[in-house]
Amino acid sequence: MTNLENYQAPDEINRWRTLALGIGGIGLIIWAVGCYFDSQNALRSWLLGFIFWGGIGVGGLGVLILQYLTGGAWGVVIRRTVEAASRTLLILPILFIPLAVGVTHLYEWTHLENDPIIQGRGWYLTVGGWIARAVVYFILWGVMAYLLNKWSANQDKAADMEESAKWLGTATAFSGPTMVAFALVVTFAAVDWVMTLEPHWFSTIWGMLFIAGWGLSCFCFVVAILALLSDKAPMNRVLGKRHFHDLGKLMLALVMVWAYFNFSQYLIIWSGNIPEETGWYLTRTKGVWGVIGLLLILFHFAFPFLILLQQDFKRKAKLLAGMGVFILVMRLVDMFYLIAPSPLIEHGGGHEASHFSWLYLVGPIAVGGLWLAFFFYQLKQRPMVPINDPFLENAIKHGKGH
Amino acid sequence: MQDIKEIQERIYPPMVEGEHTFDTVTDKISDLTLKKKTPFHWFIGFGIAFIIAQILLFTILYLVTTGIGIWGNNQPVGWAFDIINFVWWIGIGHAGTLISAILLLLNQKWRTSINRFAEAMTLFAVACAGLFPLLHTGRPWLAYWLFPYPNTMGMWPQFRSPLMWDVFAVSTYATISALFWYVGLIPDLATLRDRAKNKYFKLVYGLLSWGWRGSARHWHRYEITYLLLAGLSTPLVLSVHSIVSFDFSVSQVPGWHATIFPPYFVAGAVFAGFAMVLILCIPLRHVYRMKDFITHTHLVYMAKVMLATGLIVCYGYAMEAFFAWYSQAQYEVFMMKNRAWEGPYWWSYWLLILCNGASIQLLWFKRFRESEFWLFTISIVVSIGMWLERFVIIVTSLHRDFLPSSWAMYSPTMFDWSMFLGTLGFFFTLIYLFVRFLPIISIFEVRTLLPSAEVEHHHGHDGEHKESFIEQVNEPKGETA
Repeated sequence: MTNLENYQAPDEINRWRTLALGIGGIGLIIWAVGCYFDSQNALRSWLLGFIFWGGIGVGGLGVLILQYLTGGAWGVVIRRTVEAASRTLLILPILFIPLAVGVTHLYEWTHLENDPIIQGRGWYLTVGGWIARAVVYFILWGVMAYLLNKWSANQDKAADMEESAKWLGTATAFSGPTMVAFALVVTFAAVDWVMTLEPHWFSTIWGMLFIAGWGLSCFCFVVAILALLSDKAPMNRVLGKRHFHDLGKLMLALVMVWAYFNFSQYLIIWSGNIPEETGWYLTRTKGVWGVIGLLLILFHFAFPFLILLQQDFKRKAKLLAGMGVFILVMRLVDMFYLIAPSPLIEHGGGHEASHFSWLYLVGPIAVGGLWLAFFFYQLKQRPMVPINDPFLENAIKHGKGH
Repeated sequence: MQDIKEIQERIYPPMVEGEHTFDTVTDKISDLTLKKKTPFHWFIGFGIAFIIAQILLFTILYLVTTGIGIWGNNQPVGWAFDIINFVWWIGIGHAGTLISAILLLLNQKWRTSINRFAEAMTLFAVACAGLFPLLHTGRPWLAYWLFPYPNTMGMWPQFRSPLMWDVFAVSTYATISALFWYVGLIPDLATLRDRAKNKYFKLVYGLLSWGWRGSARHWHRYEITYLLLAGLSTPLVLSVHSIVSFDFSVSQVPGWHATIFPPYFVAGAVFAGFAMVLILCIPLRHVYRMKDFITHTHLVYMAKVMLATGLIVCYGYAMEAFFAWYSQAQYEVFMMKNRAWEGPYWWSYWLLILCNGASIQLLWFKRFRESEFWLFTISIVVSIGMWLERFVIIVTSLHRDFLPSSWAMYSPTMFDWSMFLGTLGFFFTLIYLFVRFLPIISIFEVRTLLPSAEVEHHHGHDGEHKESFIEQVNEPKGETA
């Protein structure tokens, strides 16, 4: 069987891990200080970081499940990277602690005991119910990630191709029903963590927006990481132009899906114009928020769409990675746009522009540093490709074409 | 290495079964239209479909001379079977474009032997769909008023209405699907022209194939055109049914106004479309002995697509129910209760859940996925379910809206049913004619799937080399009989 040593992750990853940990540590200290002065904005910025970076991990699990279901060369070469991303779900509960502790400073609904709508939701929207559900989400995600990672590791240890194919078959069979559970967990998590920031508002497409959005985050992140590794051993022997081309197509597809879902939501709410829903967009289309909304249309959709349409662009790893990072930044802006305009508790539910706080930068940096450090640590643990996969050779060959 | 190849083929079986050469593929498919005597069962099936199609003609005649009052539509259910059937047919039409365009762009080889009749099915389904809004106008000869053109009345259509967008979306969809289907047919029509013995057939196929000679240049142009058309059709798969969903969701009617409608309708359309493809191709592969080309693997893949899209549809039902409760909005809560247990149409909702939700769970199991009997049965059940879905959305949402004083019941009349039945007859008439006169499977594309079509490249890429690849396989040599 294939020699394990040949596909060991490069040592640079350790350096990146240390660097990320340093940045995360400093960020954490600044965040803690900020928390002392302005707990609400600090918690919201932590939520922003949590949704953004945790979203890459959740997206990683989703993409891992997806690639087992669809097959294809792109799935084989990115599998170990998305596996590492999915294993970051292990530290998600730890990153969640500040939110659980500060829930009453974050969500207005925790103070609306007399509101008929909140009352109507009963135990579902109480602090206890909210935390209990989060625990369930983490357990379910954890089990999914644990099993898929275990079977993939078994492939590495397999005595022959037959056994390796058996584990691949197990993972594939598991992925079908798991996709259903995954989609439901993401939906309810997205409702709990982000939608309830606006206590009365609702939108049925919300879950799909997060499934697609987090998937997009994951693809952009994976492309950036793989481009970094593509000229170092061992990935320089694995990755080819056509892999990036395929990943670029998937990025393009998800950019379009993101726009399609958002447009659908906007058009339907705008034309219905009923008080239950339209308030959410009223805030977000006025003043500074309106400008951010416009920026999202231009730079989360139009610009990446036009660039990614070009074939040559998708074939150049570094350029595609640049676009990946750019979209990731816009993903952060998108999450900010969802979170920040929500009513502040101390301001009696007002929507002033004063929500811009320097703290919004600190949360994503602190969470990001810690998350990335853990990601790099996980990435180093296993060979960079599933070395005994029956389709590895084909997948590598696929990439070398032009 | 033999070992790996075996494992790979176990996971992705080859898409053509049996021992075939380029010649046997061509013979097998083209003989259906050219050599074989039209089988007796064809006349029976065509006859039945044709008679049912006459019911449609009769209904249209009576409708046009009398008015749409012959339907059961009333206040507040101003839209009923006409829009239900329109959406049902349009939805069925989605599988064709998905198979031909999206699967082509995704390099999915299994599309090859099912794309031709799936596309034909799309066209016929769209033709059936178009009849309903056209006739609902009551004066179909004035249907051109729907198009924005400068006119002496000084009137423009309402551009803010999704019904207007429907006119554009559906007509674009019909045009592009027809083009796509026809362009894909040209090389095969040339094959039929070359092989036809009958003078008239030769002439007609000759005219339709536009002087196709299979030269390298022809293939080059063909490949570019086909790929461009695929690119154009891809957004149409999403746009048509999204706009159909806007017909409902941009309104304020509870049960219609839901942001999840566009993706959920698109998934439902593909779901219904694949069910119809299975309904057609399971008998077809038996009757015409096409099992080598429409293999077991094809059926299993289609079953999986059906399961996946069906689950998205179920996700839609779940979200509608959950957010109706979560919103705690008076009308939303009432809508859901009325739909599921308090209203008089509660049975239609649970029948829908049974047909679209419960039945497809069987597809999780290999036993059902690999049994043609079960696939066929489930596909029929799903087709009924998707019809019920539109019934539930449209009728139960409309019959009890905001004001209890304006509530009413809806029941279809005989002419609602005869019109629906008639379009089924019309659809199958067209399908029978298609099966008789055109190659039901793309001859030249199936040839590229044969092991003998595998050309060794110096580096293993197949996508870009496809032009030369198809050329090699379809060299005109030895082709003309």
